[in-house]
Amino acid sequence: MNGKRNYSFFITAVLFLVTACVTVNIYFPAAEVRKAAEDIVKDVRQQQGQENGQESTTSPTSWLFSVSEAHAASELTVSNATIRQLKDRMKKRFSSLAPYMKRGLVGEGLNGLLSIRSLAGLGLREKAALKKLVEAENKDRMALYKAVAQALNIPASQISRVQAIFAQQWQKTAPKGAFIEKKPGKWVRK
Amino acid sequence: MEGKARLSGVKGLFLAIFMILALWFLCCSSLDASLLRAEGPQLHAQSGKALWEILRNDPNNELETKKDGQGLHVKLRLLIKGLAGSRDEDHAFEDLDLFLNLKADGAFFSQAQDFSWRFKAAWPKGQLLFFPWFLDLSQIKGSLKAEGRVRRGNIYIDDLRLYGPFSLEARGVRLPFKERGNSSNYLDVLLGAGWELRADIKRTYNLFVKEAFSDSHPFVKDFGPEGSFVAKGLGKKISLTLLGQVLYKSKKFIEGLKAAVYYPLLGEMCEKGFVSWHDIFLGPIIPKGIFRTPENIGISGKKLPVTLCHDRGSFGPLSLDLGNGTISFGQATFLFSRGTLVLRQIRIAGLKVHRLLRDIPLEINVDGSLPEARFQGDRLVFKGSLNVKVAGGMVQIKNIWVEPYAAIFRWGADIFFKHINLKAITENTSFGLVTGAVEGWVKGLVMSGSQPEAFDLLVKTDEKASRSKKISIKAIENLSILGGGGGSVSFLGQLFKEFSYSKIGISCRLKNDVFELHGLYRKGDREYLVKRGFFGGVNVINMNPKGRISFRDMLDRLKRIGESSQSKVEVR
Repeated sequence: MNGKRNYSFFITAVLFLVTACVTVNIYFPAAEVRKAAEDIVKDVRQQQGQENGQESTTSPTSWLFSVSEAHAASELTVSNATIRQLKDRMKKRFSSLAPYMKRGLVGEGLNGLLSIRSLAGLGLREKAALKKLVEAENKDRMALYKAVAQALNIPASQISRVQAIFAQQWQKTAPKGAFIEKKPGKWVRK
Repeated sequence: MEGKARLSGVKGLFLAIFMILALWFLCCSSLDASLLRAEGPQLHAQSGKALWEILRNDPNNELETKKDGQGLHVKLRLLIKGLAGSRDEDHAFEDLDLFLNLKADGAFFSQAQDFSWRFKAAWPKGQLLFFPWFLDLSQIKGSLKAEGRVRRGNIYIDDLRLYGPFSLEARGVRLPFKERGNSSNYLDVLLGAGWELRADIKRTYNLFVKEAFSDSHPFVKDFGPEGSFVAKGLGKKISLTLLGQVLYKSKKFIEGLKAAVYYPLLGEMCEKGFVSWHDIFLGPIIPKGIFRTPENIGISGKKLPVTLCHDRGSFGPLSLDLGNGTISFGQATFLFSRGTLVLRQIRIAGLKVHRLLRDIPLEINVDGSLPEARFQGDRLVFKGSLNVKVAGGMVQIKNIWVEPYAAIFRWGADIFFKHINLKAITENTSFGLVTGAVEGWVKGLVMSGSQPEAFDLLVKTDEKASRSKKISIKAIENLSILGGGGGSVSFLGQLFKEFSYSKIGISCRLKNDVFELHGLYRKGDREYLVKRGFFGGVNVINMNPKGRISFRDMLDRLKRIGESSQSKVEVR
């Protein structure tokens, strides 16, 4: 009887030690994400419109030649084929978005996504066009955050932190007149 | 009692409200009356009542009433200009002109409430937003004619004809207003009615697909379906018929397309149909420069069985002759509720890729069996493997996946190869002749669009294959360029055309746009890409100790290959 009790005590002690030793380490590479956000946002916003009207050519080896012109990343930059292609699309789209941002119709949210602040003064056709533009941009931004997170081995559950860091850069580089969300729900005009 | 007057009184108000409600139901069903406003030159009102005040004072609007033993007879004619309304920022109409005619006869206000009606409406201009759809009604002028009865709060439509972006004709429709909100009632509407919808596919696709979704899904811009589509209510099922063709970037893609399928409205039934075509031309959808003669590559004369059930659609089997081989699948099932696709029994037999593709100096024969492909999240994952016979060796492609709906189309696989004869691969290329055999793998290959995103490559001499091992000067120079060298061999080396070697061993990893290139054989701090034999030959040494090359540098190196070494080439 006494032996059985000792046995139970031993099992309990072992279980306690095992569970006490379980440590969950979650490392979030904030500095790397910040650097990636700076580089990517800078690239998207500073080279706006330069590639408008260029048709992308696709051939079996086209990536050998066409990519290099658009690619200026150093070894330290978070980049890959998906990120590069998303950046190119967003760069082209920014020239269409910027006028709406300057008019205060579209704002940069704290979640790293665009938000329509107002549709005043727009006809239905323009409203539809702007909403589609914002929807397409946000879809690409979410794909970008996912790609950056994957590249830096960040778990999907931490993507909101990636979004928040990117949001700072989008807001910093937003054109004058654009709304930016300073605190949750509190929008100010730049 | 008989009279002809401008709109007045409670009855007129009732009729106008009824008419507007009916119009809302038919056009933009759930608009809130309090949000209705008119913004045209004549109309400035914020509510249905105020709007009514304006309508009744407009000389263009007319109401005729007559009462006899059979009840009240009413004729109403309205011209509304510049009507605008919105429920929210996604649902609105603006600048809408409406011509409305309503004739009603019977007992409007008795308990039984039974009267017949006839209604005509036309919209010569206006804009309608039902996001993501935007319709400019001046481009798609249309009209609606309907007649029927109202009895105990339900509207019965004996005959309805709608002409606009498509035409809809319906008979025997009962709209159960009193029981609205119960979806089974809407099923009853479909089951009980005889109706037919006809559409010009090009116009409908442009209006409802291309304009609405080309920003979020750019590929829809490239497709151009043409022809006619008819949907018909046949009691417990809907018949869907399509005749036409599909263009891709304005070039013929599918010719002689015909579809006749049936969708059952009740859960326990499944209905069989088919999709057929005269020709499918793959040329337009394959990027230029891949196929030998893209215009001649097609799939002709096929009929695909289609079965539609209430909650799923399945099609197959289908076998396609391509490149002297066959690509087939047993069945594909699409589950409507989950939006997911399952493909079964995909087989490739005797596909001769070299007969299809351009600039392929090798025979490439593909066979394989992929028993199942199923969505795991956004990724369609294939079970099984493809076997490729090439250059006297064998390549196995496993763990294939595609992400068809991703923002950027991606696909990937793991590739294993062995006994690959280097002579067969290099003798007709500008890389330079190399003999011998190699084995290795490309693990974790990820392609984003047509660009490589990640892979882990290993190539090494296949010791089991007994072949002579020689490497030409040109190949040495190109290999040294890849390793980061200048690509020139010393004067002494130039005296020879080729050298013997003992082993080739290269690993290359691409991740985050950085290549890591290493030689597999090490001696001290030296890393050999190519190692000479005991009695002489050539060593190619990787002089980049970290082996890290940026994506851009690698592209530059690949471009330089063929043109002209820091890589040190030792000749002995």
